[in-house]
Amino acid sequence: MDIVIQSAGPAVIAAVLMLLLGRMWKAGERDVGWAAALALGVGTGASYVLIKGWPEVPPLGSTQVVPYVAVAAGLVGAVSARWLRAWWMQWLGAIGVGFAAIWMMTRSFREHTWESTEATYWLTGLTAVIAGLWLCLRGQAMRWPGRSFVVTYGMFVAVMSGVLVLSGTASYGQLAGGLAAALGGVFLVTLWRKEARWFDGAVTVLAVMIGHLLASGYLTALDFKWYVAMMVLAGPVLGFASELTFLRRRTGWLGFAIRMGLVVVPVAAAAVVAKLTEAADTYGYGGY
Amino acid sequence: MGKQMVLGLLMFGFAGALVQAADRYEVDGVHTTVLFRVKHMDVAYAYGRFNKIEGKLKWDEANPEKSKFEIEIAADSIDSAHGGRDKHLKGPDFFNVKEFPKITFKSKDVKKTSENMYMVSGKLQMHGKTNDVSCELEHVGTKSTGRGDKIGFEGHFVIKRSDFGMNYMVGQGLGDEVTVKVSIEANKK
Repeated sequence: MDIVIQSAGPAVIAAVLMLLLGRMWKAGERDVGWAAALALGVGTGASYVLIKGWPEVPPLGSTQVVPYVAVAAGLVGAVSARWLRAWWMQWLGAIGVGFAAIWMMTRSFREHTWESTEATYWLTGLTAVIAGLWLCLRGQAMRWPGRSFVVTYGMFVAVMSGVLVLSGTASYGQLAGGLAAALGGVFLVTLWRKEARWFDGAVTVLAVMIGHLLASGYLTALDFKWYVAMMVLAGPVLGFASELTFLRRRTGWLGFAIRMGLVVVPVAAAAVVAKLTEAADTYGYGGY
Repeated sequence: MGKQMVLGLLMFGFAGALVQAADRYEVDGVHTTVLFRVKHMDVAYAYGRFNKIEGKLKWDEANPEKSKFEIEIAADSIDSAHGGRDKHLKGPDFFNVKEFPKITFKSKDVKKTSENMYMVSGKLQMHGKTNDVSCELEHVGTKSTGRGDKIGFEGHFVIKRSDFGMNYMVGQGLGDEVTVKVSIEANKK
């Protein structure tokens, strides 16, 4: 029963919240990304509570940072989508919350492990990853037709959750599963409001959470290979290849399959590599 | 004569203070053991240990309340006799050793409870969180050996790992209560 609540809970919470916020949509309002951002952020934050209980204040370690980051990204995404319409202002919002997330997550590393130069490299590099992810996700969300973006990235995050589990970070894998479930909840509501343009704001949450969960897993696991992380990140970058002329001509299911393949195949390959490399033997004893 | 008496008393007093002063010891990591056990699947106990332990003691048998115990354990020295499980235990699901490399105990209070038995209370810091713990410790022995003066203690205490924010699989096949058994051997400095 627990596993059903933990799996479906974030989807239900995200969908219900988006429906409730929907009552605030003005008649004919198409840009509802602010509501999707809040739903996705709160749904992902709720997945932490459902799986691990309430986090402490202030958060204890990188795992407990996740729900705070999710809700903060939802708020920043919502505010930037609702009031700061320009793409570069939304991008700056994502960079701001992404940097704060990485700052909070790496507190112990900065205190105990890294010299200031190394800390600067990590903070800059990981924030740049989130900034790059935001550009990739938004570019694809704007260009791809229908709901292919949300389905593709729902699948991407679900498979990334498997990569995190196979790399020895089951906790982050579970939380990525929560993000995928919350995305599923948002998707259900977008089916009902087909005309809605929901991705502004929501991509802030997606980019921050994908970058944050991947960075957290990479930094804290003992056996998370750098090339596995790179393969995961290759998906959103390769997604742009769908804009190549000969691929863009493919429409309908074939076009959808191409987009899905470009994004999901690299992360699926990362899961296979994680399974085949030493990391997978972490659970050789059964996992608990 | 009066001055000599005062001086003599002072000398005796000084010598007495030296005798009464707490002895200082350094934990012998090789001969010190920290074991733990946790219930697995509600059917059996799984055991593990930490292999890298340091620390210092101040021991005053006559005035135990003046004694002090300070122990530091390298979290990444955890050893459950299975390489894969050790990796998992060191990761973010459990000890998260990259973020929290040390487990420390600092005593606050030492009380004699019976012959050779003491209640040691203090702060245990693990996984980034500090909680009060109490351990009933047996003073096993003190001896001058060919390798110097040695002292030894043994005891156990029970903690809830969820109190330290380590709640992965609690209630889902892996117990919350962890029994920790410590056996300390220390060398006089």
